[in-house]
Amino acid sequence: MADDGLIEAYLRELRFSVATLPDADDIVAEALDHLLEALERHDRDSRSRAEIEAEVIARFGSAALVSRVCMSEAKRGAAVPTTRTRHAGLAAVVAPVLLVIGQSGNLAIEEGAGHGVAVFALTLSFPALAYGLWGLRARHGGLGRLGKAALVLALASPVLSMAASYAAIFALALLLSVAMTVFAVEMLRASVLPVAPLTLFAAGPLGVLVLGAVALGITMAGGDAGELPIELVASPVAIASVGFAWLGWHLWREPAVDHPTQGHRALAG
Amino acid sequence: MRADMLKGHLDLLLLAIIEDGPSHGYAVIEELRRRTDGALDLPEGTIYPALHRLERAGLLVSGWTEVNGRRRRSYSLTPSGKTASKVKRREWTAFALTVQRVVGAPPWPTMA
Repeated sequence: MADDGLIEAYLRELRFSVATLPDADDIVAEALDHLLEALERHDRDSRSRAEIEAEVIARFGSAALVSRVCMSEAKRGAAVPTTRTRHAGLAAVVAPVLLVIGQSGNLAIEEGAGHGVAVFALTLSFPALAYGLWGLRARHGGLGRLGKAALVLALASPVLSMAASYAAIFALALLLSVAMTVFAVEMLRASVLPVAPLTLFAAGPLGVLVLGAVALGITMAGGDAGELPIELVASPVAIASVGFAWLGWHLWREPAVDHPTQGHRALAG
Repeated sequence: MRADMLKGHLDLLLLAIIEDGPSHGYAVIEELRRRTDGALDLPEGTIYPALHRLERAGLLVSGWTEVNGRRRRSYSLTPSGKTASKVKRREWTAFALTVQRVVGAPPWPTMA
């Protein structure tokens, strides 16, 4: 590979560390080129070649560090608006609309095709929500481990909530609220999207969690949490819906970098 | 400057450097060091995975040549990369202005 010495030993270690990645050979070839280029350009002084190689390798970073960054970067995106994030934005706009239409129809129409359509719309609101969340995460280039965990929790929440049997709807609200709160906090930290809709998106699920705690307290005190005013119960969901749809609208309006005409629009803007 | 302070902004720095013309990894890192007067103290090997990610995202395209008997990979911007660079510059400017408004503002008037 390279000449005998520390660089060759380093590249062997790096090769071993990144062996599971599909572009392992390219990573090692680039590292070899970098290290030899750095070695060639290094100021000649009284130090031995081994000492200079050690310095060049130290500046490059340990094989463990480089392979760890390779692994984590392999799972990330580029945090730019694309055609898919725009479509996800549209889904985020549609999700609350489907939720409202579906739930209203579900309550107002007791049977027949109208009821079926309402339930279908209600069911569709979840994939729309999931796609919208995926788009928000993609727009941020991944949102780290917490963002990924929040998305997985949101996607798994309908299945997990079934374990709560008759209380499944409350379990679903709880799990989704936790997931969306974490998601919102991570997006606020990233500072990519506007603060106002992000704040609404964060406030909604936080409100659900607070309401859940209040309802639990009432129940444990022997009261009936079902007597809480419907306006109070619905308001956090409405706030989160406005925030989510607003974020979706923002994603939808961004010119996609992978679209030729929209890309030109962004360059001109 | 610590590596974690760069979080979220490395892509813009890389795109801005490669925007000036095709570059190989070592040249990109040297240019990063030159433009920042050495203020960015990143392990050099951690830049390559970011370049690979930007290529996978369609913002960069790379090609291999042979230099001094070894393989060298050079990166250049795609049309999507040029657009992304513009978008990210705009995001950075808005973010920096927002922070500056806070840290550069005069203190809240207090009663003596």
